[in-house]
Amino acid sequence: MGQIGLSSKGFVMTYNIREATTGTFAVGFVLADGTSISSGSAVPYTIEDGTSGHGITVSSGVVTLPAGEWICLFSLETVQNSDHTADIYVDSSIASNFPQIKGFNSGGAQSDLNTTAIPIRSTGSTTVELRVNASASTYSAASDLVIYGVRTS
Amino acid sequence: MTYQRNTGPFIVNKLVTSTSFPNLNFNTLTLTDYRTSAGVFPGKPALNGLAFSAVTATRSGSQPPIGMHRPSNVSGTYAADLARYGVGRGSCGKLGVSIVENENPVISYRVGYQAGDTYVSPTYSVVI
Repeated sequence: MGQIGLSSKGFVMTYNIREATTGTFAVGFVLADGTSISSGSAVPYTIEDGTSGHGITVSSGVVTLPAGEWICLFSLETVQNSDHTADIYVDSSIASNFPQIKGFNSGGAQSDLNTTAIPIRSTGSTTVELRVNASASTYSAASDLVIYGVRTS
Repeated sequence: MTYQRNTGPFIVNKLVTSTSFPNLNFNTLTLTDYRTSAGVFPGKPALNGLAFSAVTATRSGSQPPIGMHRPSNVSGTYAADLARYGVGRGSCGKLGVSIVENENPVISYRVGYQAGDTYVSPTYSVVI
C-alpha cells in the first residue's frame, strides 16, 4: 500500500498508518445497465464481489464504511448522448475538493466514461456516495465503484 | 497478522493550473494539490505505491484530444487513451498506471493528434 516518503525517514511517517489493522480488502460494485437516476440522487451501485469480512454495506447507493482507511474509485458513463456531471458526497456533504465526474457527449450512443476518487478515514459509520447532477439521465453497466483499504477495527 | 507491513494513506493529487504545450512531444503535467483523508498535505511529498491517473483536456483544433499518459516521470509505460470525438472538451484519458518510487507523482503524457490541447481539472492522479 502507498506510503509517503522512505520508511527510514521518520519525519514523514506521522502521515502513514501505524495502527493495527484487521485486514486489507478490495470490494467491487457494479451498476445495472440502463439505470435511470434522477438529479440529486446517488448512483445505486451494488456490491458485485469482494472478500468476506470487509464490513462495507450499501443502501440505494449510499455506502457505509467500517472504521479504517479507504480509497474509493468511481467511474460513470451514460447510455445517452449527453454531457453530465456527478459529485462525491461524504456524510451527505459534497466533497468539492476532489475531482468532479464530468462525462461528455461522445458523438456516439453514450457519453465517455469518466472517473473520480477520494481517500476516506472512516469512524465506522462514515458514508460515501456519488450523486448525479443531470436530470433523468440513464447510465450504463460500464459504471463501477472499487473500494480498497484497511479496517482498523 | 504476525506481520503487518506499514500501510500508508491514499493520496489524490490534482492538476490545479490548466496547462497546454505547443508540440507533440512528451510533456509533463505538474500536480500540486496532494490530498489525504486527513486533508491537504503540506508541500510535495515523495510517495511510494501504485499510481493511476485520468486526464481531461480541451482540444485546440479540429482533432479530438487524445492523451497517452502515466502518473510518473521515471517509471511505467504510457497507458490507455480514449478519444473524445465532437465538440470542445473531453476526458481524453481513462487510467494510466505506474509505480511511483520515492517521487512526486506527475502525469507524463503525449498528445496524439494535435498540439496545443489544454489539460484541465479534473485531471488527477491516485496513489495507493
